[in-house]
Amino acid sequence: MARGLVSVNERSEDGGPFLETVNEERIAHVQPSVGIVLGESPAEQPGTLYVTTRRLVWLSDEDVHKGYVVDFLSLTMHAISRDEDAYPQPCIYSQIDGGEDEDEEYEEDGTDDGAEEPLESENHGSVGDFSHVTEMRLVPRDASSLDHLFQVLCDCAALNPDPEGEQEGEGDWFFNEDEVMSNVIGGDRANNHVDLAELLMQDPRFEDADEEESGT
Amino acid sequence: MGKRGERQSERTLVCVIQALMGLELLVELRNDLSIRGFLDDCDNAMNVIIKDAMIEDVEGCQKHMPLIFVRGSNIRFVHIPDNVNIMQAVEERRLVLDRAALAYMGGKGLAPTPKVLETQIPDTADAAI
Repeated sequence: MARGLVSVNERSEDGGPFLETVNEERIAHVQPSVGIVLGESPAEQPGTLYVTTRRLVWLSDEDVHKGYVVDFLSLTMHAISRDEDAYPQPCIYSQIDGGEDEDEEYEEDGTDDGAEEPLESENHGSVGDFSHVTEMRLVPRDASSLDHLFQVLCDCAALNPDPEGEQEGEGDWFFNEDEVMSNVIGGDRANNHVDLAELLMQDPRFEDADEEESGT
Repeated sequence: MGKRGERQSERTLVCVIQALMGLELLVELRNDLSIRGFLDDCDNAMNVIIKDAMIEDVEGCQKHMPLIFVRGSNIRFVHIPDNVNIMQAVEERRLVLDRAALAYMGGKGLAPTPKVLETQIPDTADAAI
């Protein structure tokens, strides 16, 4: 279900994003004067950040057709970053899971109200263009708003639990730290398997029956 | 105490991680990032907030972040600190929650404080058996 970052080129009359009423989506927080940094690209600003109960939406203040949206299921983590070596301005750093193993032809069949860009739009495959974005920074002009913004993101992320059964690798058990650290799951057991195979090879009971013998 | 296993968190191993709140630990994410810091919060979906964190990526590049929220589904490992007796930590937390529930319901149990817990654990263990 994680869709990653998607561009959005429509907005409602009040300048905000279209909300998906089927999900009872509400706006939790609006932060003006926020720049957005996708991956290693330069910051795009100014823009307004809308934190809804389902998604994070950034809409450019200068270009009414430019915006980005990412759903909370795709936001694998977010953090306050004040480390100047990582980025000169204090910002919210986040990682996005684009769900790239999913079919790139992913398309919503009219279940939304146009807030997401349909694939048939003139931005051919722009949905694919942004699914590779794995890092995003939100740089508010007002750095003191970071703490509150971080908390709002935590609260809204908690409102979006993963659907049941979506977990990969659920139920894998690791028994000791050596197994974990060697990163070769069952590495020791692989040796046992080799021995067993050799054993089976040499056991005459498993030889093919001779065809000369006929039942009597 | 009759509450063992009734809490949703106690039906999965998330209660183990919740018992580590306030302690310094190492979390490894499914995208191979490791985060070392203090566990500030952990909810029932295993979403965690880590304070005063150092993030290290596969290339060894480190960044410091004062606060990080990680989605539970993105966590691969939580390394329990060596000096922690995890069974005791889980049990202590369960007792704290039980007492809080009792106090909240106006029962005769004391509201939990760490000092009370330390002196009373041996007695309670006997009573439970």
